[in-house]
Amino acid sequence: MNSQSILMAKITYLSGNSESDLDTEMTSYVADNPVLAKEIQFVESFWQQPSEIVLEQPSEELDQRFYQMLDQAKVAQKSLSTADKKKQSLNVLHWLTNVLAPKPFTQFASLALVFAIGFNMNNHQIPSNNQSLDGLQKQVESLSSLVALSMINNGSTSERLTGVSYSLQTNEQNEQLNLALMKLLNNDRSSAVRLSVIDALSARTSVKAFEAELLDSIDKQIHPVVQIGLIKLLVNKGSNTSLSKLKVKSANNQLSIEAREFIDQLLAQRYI
Amino acid sequence: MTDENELMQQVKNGQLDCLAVLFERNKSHLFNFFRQMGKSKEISEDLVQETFMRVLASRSSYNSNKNFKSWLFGIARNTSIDHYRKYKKTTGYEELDESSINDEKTLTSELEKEQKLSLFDQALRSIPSELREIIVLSRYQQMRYEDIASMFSCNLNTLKSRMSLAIKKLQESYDQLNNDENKEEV
Repeated sequence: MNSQSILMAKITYLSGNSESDLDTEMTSYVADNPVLAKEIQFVESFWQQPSEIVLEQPSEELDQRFYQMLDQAKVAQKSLSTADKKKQSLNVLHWLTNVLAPKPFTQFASLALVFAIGFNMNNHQIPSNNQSLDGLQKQVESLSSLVALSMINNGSTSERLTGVSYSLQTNEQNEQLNLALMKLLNNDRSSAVRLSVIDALSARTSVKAFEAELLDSIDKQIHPVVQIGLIKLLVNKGSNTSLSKLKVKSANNQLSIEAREFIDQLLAQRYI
Repeated sequence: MTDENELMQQVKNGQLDCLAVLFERNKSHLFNFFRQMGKSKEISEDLVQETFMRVLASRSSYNSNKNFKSWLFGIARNTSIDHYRKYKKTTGYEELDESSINDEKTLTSELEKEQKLSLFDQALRSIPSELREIIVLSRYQQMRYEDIASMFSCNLNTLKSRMSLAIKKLQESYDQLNNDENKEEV
């Protein structure tokens, strides 16, 4: 028996890992050892203090974000059996638009869109030719880009997610928006936002314009799900060289184990 | 098999709704774990969300013979470590929530109990994170030694030794802070 073993026994008892407190022999040892007595007193005092911080509760935003993610996962689970994956990602993003958008901002965006359409119609009478229809389309797209950019640069995760879904209604060639999306993909602290960017890019006709950036982005991702999402995007929408570049990354251990397994499965399917 | 183990097994079998029950039961514990590890409120919420994303992503690897809580906190630890690695260069780490410390510093001598709590809190935050983790999991999350040992991949005796080392460090830090405070009062 020594001071160390007595202290250890006391902590084990106080932490609920043992039902027996110090026995008589140990108690008298403590009484004769003032340094150990002080240590025991400290341990008791620490375990008896109210654990005030434990009462702290997370905000409601956490609940919202969790249930968004869960719904997204359920949608993904259901749609795994369907062939149209593009439709699936659009559904998820449209769902996110409806649920996530902070109400005043959505109302403002909708009002602004209605205003733009009304203004255009009043000024140009009824669009009677393709030129005025194109003009109207451009104005709506431009407004959607503004809304998307404004929300993407916002501090809240839910607004960034909504901004990404707005980007679906914009011109694919909008460089400023494309840069903002790539920045989110590489730097956003939330994996849900990164995944939503991948979803938005999947809905595009092609991603060949930023294929190199997407390949580089894989190295910046910690979360295996995001890596796998990027791999799927590159294989489905990128050029034929993407898969060979991914193979090299996999061979050089630049990818997570899950991503490497995913590539192996892809390759196996191709060779079957 | 415990209730939570069964629920996680159902999640693994494809009943994703069961994850909502596990989230409701564990969100506050996880949130407070990250808070006590010195993370800000915002980062703690992000980490809880990330932890449950990982639970969902790695549900197929869940072994129902293992305690769910221990598995969950193992994932939470890894999430926290990945976050540390990712942001240490850009933010200088560690996102200690200074506001709570400063708030507590304003307490008067009439609130001696709260002052003591503040000192415990500050002392806890000043010890190395690998030792702090053990105290937080045992003292505040009330996890059994067996489960913590399994999370840290060590045996029970090693964990007990680490625990007493952690408590010694905590006491040293507490005494130091207490002395500093007494000097200031003089």
